Amino acid sequence: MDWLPTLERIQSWHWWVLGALLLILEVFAPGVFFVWLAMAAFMLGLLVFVLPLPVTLQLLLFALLSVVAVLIGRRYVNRLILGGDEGESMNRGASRLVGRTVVVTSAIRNGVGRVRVGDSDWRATGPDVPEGANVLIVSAEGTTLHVREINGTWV
Amino acid sequence: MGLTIFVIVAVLLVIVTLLAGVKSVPQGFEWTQERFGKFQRSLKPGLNLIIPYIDRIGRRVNMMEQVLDVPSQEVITKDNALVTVDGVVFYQVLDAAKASYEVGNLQQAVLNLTMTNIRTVMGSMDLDELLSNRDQINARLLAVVDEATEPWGVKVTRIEVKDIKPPADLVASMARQMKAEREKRANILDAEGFRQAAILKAEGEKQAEILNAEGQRQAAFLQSEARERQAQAEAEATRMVSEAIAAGNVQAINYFIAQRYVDALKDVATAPNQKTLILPIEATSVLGSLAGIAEVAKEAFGNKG
Repeated sequence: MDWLPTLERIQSWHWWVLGALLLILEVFAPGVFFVWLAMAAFMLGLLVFVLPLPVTLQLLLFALLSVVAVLIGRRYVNRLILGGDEGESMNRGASRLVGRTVVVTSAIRNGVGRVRVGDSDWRATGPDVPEGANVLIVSAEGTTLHVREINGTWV
Repeated sequence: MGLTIFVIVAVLLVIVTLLAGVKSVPQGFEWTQERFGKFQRSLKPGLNLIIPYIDRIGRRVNMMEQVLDVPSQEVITKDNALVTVDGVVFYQVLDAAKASYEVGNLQQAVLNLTMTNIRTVMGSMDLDELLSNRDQINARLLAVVDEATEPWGVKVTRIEVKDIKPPADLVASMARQMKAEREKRANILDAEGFRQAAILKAEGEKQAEILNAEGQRQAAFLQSEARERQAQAEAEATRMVSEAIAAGNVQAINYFIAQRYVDALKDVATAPNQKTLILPIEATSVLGSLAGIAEVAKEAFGNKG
């Protein structure tokens, strides 16, 4: 059983095995978490392969590298891997309606009124306009749309 | 050895800390982040980091459009009919924070709001209106409920009244009413048809009679015209005869008449089934006139010869 890692001696391939086990765990566990520890284990394995370090230092480096992996991962995962527009418009509530021209169904008075979007009425805020006017949705916040008048002005 | 234990605990601490700090939110959800129990921001789908020990995940809000069955309830209409109504509500959370903290039990709240508003809207309508104006009911419900759920960051996209069931006896009498209505219409149509037919027939008869009379009138006109023409012709003939007589001998006319007379007598005598021969009173005078004829002949030929 001298292939088992002991507190006196941990070899580089021990870390690689740990990394692989963590990746397997990742597949079955909910959420994305073990993949970062796996990354740290692989990096540490590489480091130990190049220069043998004492076991305590290796463990400390593992902890440190885990944090680093998360931080780097967050930076690049969100920007490069998730960066596409795919899915950005999904479940984004009212934001997906921005840029659409809609009709006012209940005159905007004192800045508040209602507009018709598709087959539903939405609360709208913006400059006062009479019922039936066309307005442009410029932004959205919660269930309220901010609109701008487009009749008579350049779009 | 002590150092080793410390290092192991430190590694465990780091792992637990990371576990508390790395959050990946699935698509279709938004999680609220609470710092010391106070809402701070909502986490969007994807990889999120929160500060461990200080921040916590509060609510996991489903941002997908939800469908909610409104259980059937009894509603009394304006004209006191008791109907059973159920429906369906579609809503979507647009603001995770408001939906988490502005309302206790969102689903329950939306459901109750819808149910009470169904009562309100339907209670203000007659049964007949209720059955025929579903669009209007849906629109009114949507307007009210959507307005009310606005503070909760919820957009109610659709409310549909699924089934409106009046009580069975009412349905039966409605069916009877409809049947009677149809029968009434059928009877009226029948009567209308008969009336129209009679009018048409009378009109036809009238037209026929008018045409008939017109024909007779025209015929009479034509007949009188013919008579007139005949009289004219006769007058002309008479004139010509008298002119001829005036120019020639009077005995010629006597001969003429005598010949006609004898011809007529012959006709009478040879008529079939004539057992008795009736001679006009003046027949004898006719016979007498034969002497006149002889006279005429004698004069005519005798004078010559």
